[in-house]
Amino acid sequence: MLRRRLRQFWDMCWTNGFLLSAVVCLTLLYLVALFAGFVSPYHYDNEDRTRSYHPPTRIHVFDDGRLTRPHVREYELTFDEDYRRVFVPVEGVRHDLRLFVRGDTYSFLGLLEWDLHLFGVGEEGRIYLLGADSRGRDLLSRIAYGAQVSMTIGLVGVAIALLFGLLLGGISGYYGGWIDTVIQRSTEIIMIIPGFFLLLALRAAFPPDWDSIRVYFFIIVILSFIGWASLARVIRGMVLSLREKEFVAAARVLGAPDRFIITRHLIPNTASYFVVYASISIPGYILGESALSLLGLGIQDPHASWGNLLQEAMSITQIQLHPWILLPGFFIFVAVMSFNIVGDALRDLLDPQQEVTTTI
Amino acid sequence: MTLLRTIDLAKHFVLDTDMRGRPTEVEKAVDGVDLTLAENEILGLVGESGCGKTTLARLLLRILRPTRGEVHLDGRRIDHLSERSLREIRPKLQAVFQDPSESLNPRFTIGESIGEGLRHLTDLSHDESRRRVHEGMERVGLPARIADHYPHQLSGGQRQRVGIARALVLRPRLVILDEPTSALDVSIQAQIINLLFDLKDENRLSYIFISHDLNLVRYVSDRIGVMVAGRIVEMGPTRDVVENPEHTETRTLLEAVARERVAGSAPGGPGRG
Repeated sequence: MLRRRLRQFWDMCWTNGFLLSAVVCLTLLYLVALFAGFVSPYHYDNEDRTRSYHPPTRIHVFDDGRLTRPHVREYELTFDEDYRRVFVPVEGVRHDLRLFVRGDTYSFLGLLEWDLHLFGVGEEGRIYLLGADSRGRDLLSRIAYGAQVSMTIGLVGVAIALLFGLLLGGISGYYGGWIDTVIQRSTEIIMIIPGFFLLLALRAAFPPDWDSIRVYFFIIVILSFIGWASLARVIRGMVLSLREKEFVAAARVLGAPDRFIITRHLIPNTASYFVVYASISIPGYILGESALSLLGLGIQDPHASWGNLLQEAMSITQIQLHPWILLPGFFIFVAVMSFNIVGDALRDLLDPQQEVTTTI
Repeated sequence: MTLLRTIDLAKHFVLDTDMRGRPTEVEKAVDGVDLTLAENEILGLVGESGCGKTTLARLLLRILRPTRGEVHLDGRRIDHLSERSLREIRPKLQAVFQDPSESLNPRFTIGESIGEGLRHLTDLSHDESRRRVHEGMERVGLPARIADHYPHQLSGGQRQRVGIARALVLRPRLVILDEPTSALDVSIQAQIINLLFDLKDENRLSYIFISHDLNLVRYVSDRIGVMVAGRIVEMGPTRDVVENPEHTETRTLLEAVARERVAGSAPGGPGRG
């Protein structure tokens, strides 16, 4: 069953260009998140205050009209007559771009310490492919490290929301009666409070000076606390109709305990819904984390997440002077868009109507 | 020897209540059923749809709790037992359901479905269960290789064989057959009925055969009970009931069979009503 579905999904990718690019984007983003230390030339907190708001560096392959090794120029910070930063190239100084260079140490998957980077220009120069922030930190490196937070928060958050939503929805639908009433009224209470204010209120209930790791897990908990309710309602409705099926009666005759009936007979038969739910609700988690971090309530500097990288882009003059600081927003856009496209494709694929036509 | 006996068995569903929670509208799905079943006997229960046959089956299987009355299996009262104590009874009392495409979980393999009862009700090791499952599949005429298949890969007749094997691996004494053939093609129906006969003789089983089709029920049953609106209005040996119907409902059912004969649409043996 699963293998056939994967095969169908694979076929869909090749007929639908949007879907293929979404899958490619997501794969790349997760690879970047996984190997953030390796693909980024610098540590996320490696700063150079003499190069504050350094613009994106061009890679040159010609020197004096002759083809040479790819290299970047050295720039020097000066100020123009309006005291705006201007970076002027220093004549004659070039730094060759090299692959697999030694640089800042990072820990790979928290297991081993390493200092090898995919590319770099060595100690004497600096490379800023996507520009620098106010403290001269490489935006590309910070976006790569930020992907670790932003791309995983959705997955972990949805996993927790699924766990609670499925179990509570399943229990609610299977037992009915007062259990159902209690669970359903709880979901309604969570759902009537506007999500964003609930997010803020929950965050405000806890100390603001927690370290980033704790905040990270706490944001996940907050987001899934809000997210499980809508899932539990739908799952309850599906279980309500599924429990009337004869295979549930048969399971009881065969002595299956309620726990087994709920987790093995009922919930797996709602898979076509909750798989779609998961992929469609991941963007909500990414945006939720970004919103909290943007407001300074989430991941704290020096740690990076796409949301708190956008903090620098909150002033319109900064965007005008250094447009590249908006780039983390572009990554949020790509990730959210890709998850939505994949979610839509999964919904088409797992549509029960279609299931009927394909099995006959 | 009596295997199963019910005394004044009833199930009332509350459809609506007033403000204080007192029932104002009650559906009497089963309303005072007394029946007995001897060992190695087939009792046919026949009645129109909605007469309470399936509810009665679910009461006997204790999927539903009776509103009043008693059920005795093998001399032991079982209607008030807790789910835990029922686990001792369940292997003896099994069922085959109407629609095999509904009664098999689409996400379980055939082997998992057949082995489910062994998993919950016995302490057999993994290997022993597997052996029992294969043995059961062989007895109902299913090739062992389909143990890893899913229900949608099987034909309707094969699926119903899975349903039968699932009940049989527990070595039951009584199997309740709730319209076991009405979702199947006519030719397949005959095969399934013959299989059920063979299995009964091999294993000294008793059946309660529930159907809306009197033609089929008279063909398979030793005794027949006719149900109308939650009550058994007539019960007796098959011959007596068919040749000397006392109740109008029985006559109506018989006339329906006769009309089909005249129209030539009914097959000689078991057929659809």
